[in-house]
Amino acid sequence: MDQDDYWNVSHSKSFCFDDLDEIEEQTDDNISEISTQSSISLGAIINENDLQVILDEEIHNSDSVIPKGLTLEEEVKFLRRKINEFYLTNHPEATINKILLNNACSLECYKSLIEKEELLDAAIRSGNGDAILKVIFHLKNTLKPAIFLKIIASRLEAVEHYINYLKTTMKIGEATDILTMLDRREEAALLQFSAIVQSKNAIQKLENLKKTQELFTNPFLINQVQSYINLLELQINERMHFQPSDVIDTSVLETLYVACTKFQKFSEPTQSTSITNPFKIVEKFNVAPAQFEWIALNERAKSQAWRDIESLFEKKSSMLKKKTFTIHIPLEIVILKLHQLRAPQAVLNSFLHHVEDPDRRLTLAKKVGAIHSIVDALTILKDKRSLEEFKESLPSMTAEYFYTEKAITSITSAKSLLNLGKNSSFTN
Amino acid sequence: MDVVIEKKLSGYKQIALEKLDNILLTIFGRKDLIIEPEIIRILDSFANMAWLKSKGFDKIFKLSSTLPPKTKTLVYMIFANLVTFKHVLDQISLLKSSSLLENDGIKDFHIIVVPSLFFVFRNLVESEGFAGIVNLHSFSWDFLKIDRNLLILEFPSTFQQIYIQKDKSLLSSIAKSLRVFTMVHKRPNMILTCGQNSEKVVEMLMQLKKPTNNDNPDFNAMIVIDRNVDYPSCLLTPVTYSGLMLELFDMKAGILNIEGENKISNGKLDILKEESKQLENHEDIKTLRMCGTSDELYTANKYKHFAEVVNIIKAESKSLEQEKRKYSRDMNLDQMKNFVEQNLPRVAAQKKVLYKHLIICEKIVQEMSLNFEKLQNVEEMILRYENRKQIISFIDESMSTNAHNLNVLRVMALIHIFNGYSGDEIHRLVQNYLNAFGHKNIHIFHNLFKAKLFPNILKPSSTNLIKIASNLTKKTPFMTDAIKFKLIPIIENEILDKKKPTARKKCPSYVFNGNYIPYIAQVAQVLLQAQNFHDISPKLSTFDVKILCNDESNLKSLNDTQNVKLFPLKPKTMFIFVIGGITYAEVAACKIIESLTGATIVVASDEVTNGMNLIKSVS
Repeated sequence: MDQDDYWNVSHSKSFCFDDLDEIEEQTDDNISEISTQSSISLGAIINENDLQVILDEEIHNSDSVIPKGLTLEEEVKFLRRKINEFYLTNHPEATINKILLNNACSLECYKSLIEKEELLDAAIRSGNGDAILKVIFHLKNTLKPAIFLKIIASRLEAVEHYINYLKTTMKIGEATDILTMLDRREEAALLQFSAIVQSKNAIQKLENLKKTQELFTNPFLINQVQSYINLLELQINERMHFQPSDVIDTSVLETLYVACTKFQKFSEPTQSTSITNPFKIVEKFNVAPAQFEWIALNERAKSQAWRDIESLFEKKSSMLKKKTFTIHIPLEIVILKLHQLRAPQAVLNSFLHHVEDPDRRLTLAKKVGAIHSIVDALTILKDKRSLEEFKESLPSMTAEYFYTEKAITSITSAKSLLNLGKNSSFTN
Repeated sequence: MDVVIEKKLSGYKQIALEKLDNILLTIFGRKDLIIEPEIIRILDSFANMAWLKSKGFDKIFKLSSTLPPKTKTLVYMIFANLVTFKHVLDQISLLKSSSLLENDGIKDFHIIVVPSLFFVFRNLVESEGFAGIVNLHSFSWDFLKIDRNLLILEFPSTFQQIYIQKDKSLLSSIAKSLRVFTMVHKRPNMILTCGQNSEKVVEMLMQLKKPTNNDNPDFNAMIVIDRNVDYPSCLLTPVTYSGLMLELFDMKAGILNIEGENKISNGKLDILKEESKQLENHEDIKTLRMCGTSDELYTANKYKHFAEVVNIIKAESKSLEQEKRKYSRDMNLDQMKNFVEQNLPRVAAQKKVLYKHLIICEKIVQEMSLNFEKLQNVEEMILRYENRKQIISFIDESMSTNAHNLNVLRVMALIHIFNGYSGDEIHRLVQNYLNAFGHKNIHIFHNLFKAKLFPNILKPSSTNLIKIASNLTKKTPFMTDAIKFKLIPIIENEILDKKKPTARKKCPSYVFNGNYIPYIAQVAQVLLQAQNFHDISPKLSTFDVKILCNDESNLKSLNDTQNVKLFPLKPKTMFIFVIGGITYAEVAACKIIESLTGATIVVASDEVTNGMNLIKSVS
């Protein structure tokens, strides 16, 4: 066990004194330096009076208001001073200061509307959120809702603090009302949306989402909420199809991944009209081609369906009867990934074949140990010496060995042909 | 650094203990402590078991959903979070109803709220009917010194509360901790603020009671800045060792947690996760202490370029291996005995630390190396405002092949800050993100907007093509300011520079591979090098800087400030506080300024953060 970690030992159980040995031990590791030799006396760190000021404020803030061990006379004095401090102020700045200093104070003397507004403004000016909230609560408790809302509505800081409080305490309805009243409708809609998506019950969530969708006015957001609704519907309706995976409330890509595991017709995707066809999902949710390719590639590779991977990137054009290779992810990343997922050489080679630059192809091929591609790249580069070296590194009489040998011959013959041509032109 | 200052910096824990003691004195009898898990490490850094025992605590429990046994007074210690607070009240309510019958009466309940007991907490206690039953306390440990020149408050989710939820309650807690700072070190002769929250904090600081004695302050100048003044220092990928550690692991109170799944793999979709090589049995490797005293390897390398550090760590492990071998071969019995008794423990301890670093380095390489260079290039393009097409295609690519729920947003935010977006791009990127990570995340983009890290997606997008086009060719306001304030080093002699890391070490942009100078480092440099007030005012006027000198009590803008006779700053001592989290890159950059100017700079913040943590607090 790590000595640093004695706190975590007993989990929900308590930490007892039996652990004390370890605590002694860990002081060696400089964990608790309460009284290390290097420290200096408290008095040298902080002035005694200053420290007392902090300590007093701390206690003010606690509930025990009357200090212990006072004589009756002292106690009367103390209480009299407290009463004075508590009630006799109607200078807003002074009151806000008291809140900052944790001095108990009452806001009850702020009766008139003007006084209340001045107090709120002073709180906002101070920038102390605690004071702002305290004043807001005082206004809320002493004013009728319409007036209260009118006062805070004209003060952005006040609104932010109050809305945040309502959000934290899950009073979403009230927060929504205020935002709507302030004509911040999109925010109100988003707030409702955020509250709804917390729900664990998918069917309930779906129903509620349909209701909130109307609250949005921004077309982009309406679309996104609609996508969410569509996705949940798909996940709920097709949950039997996706079994044993539970896709409910997963993201589009996660659902797409599971859909790929269930899909049989990667070579002829258009033949399936099922809504769980990954290609249909891609269309429906406007999934970026690169995102889809990456998900399908990972899934098919993990399922070791290598042929599907190749057909994934072959687009048949109807005009020409030729297949074209289209990909939206950098080939380099694809090849490294395939290698990592233990793709066979043939698959790697077929992807490496699409790397145009022979130098890049060579480096990549070496990285993933794709022999044919190494040879091909060297052939294009006409690097006979490297080819021969490479041949030597291969076990003789294997298919790879012969492949390399053939490549060397092809270069040599090409070279001699070239030389022949040169010579002939020379003689002419 | 002056020895006295250094000792004082270590003294905050004594003040914290005194404050806690002061509260515990009011809670009589035997008691159990129930503590929020996040607080454990922090409390541990200044109060140990023995101390707590001496204060009458018998047992300590982690706050969880299971109820603690109620046999004596219960003291809860939690962060100021209303939801946690409500959870505690619910527990107390349950305990009260169950223990009423079994026990001979209800013992006290206390809740210590860190760092401040705000009004809403008292309000909740009252409205839930707990007034008089539950005793409330407010406690702040103020600064934790987690490295030689680094103080941290460890207030949680400060960035989220202040910049996204716009709840400014914590500003008063920060002001109070800064007040303790001014009591310990006296009030600096000059206080400079940058940003609205900083202004408010300093204004509150001025309202709080002044320290009794204010002669000879330890720090000549103090800078308080808002995190949102300089987002790039968070969003850019650091190249320093300590910076990269936080890319993978979380740190609390100076202790890095290297156990479990790292932050990079954690943010990826489960379906696309690689079966990561499980490193062999690391059962005893759980944490690394990120501070100077116990780990020389860390101290020497924390601010160095990672590429350099990897080699050092490798060399170190070789030499340690050799040392071990050398000793174990040709030794007679006495030597052997001596070795076992003296050297072995030392070597073993060294080996353990080294082993931790090896694991961390390996993890960093494993998770980041594939993409690191590409990311660095893209970040440079964003800063240089070039190759927009490549930048966007990088985002598209990472959205598919390297989708990390936080890091994708991080680069997107960086683009927003420096380059801006067209309406179409925003919609496409948001849609791709939602498809990958779930539509429930729409609110993230609104939160990013609130923090000024993304355009407003709630607004109907502008269909005016001319406007879009002109937006794209125009530099963003931040870009303009950054150029003006020379945060982006000029490319001249770049090739030369990049080849000579020693030359780059002399520029604070070293921490971002020569691409960007953290704002705080630049401000510190301007102040430390200024000969007179006129040297600073034109330079600092780019950002909304305010200043407060000597005995004045109000912040003034630079234009309204009379000639300040504080320059050149002597002694060159400076304290910098960032509201909303500081990064190790910034700390490292300040270290470079220290060595360039011969100054002492102590930096502080509510937490040590990085781009991922920043984005995480948005979601």
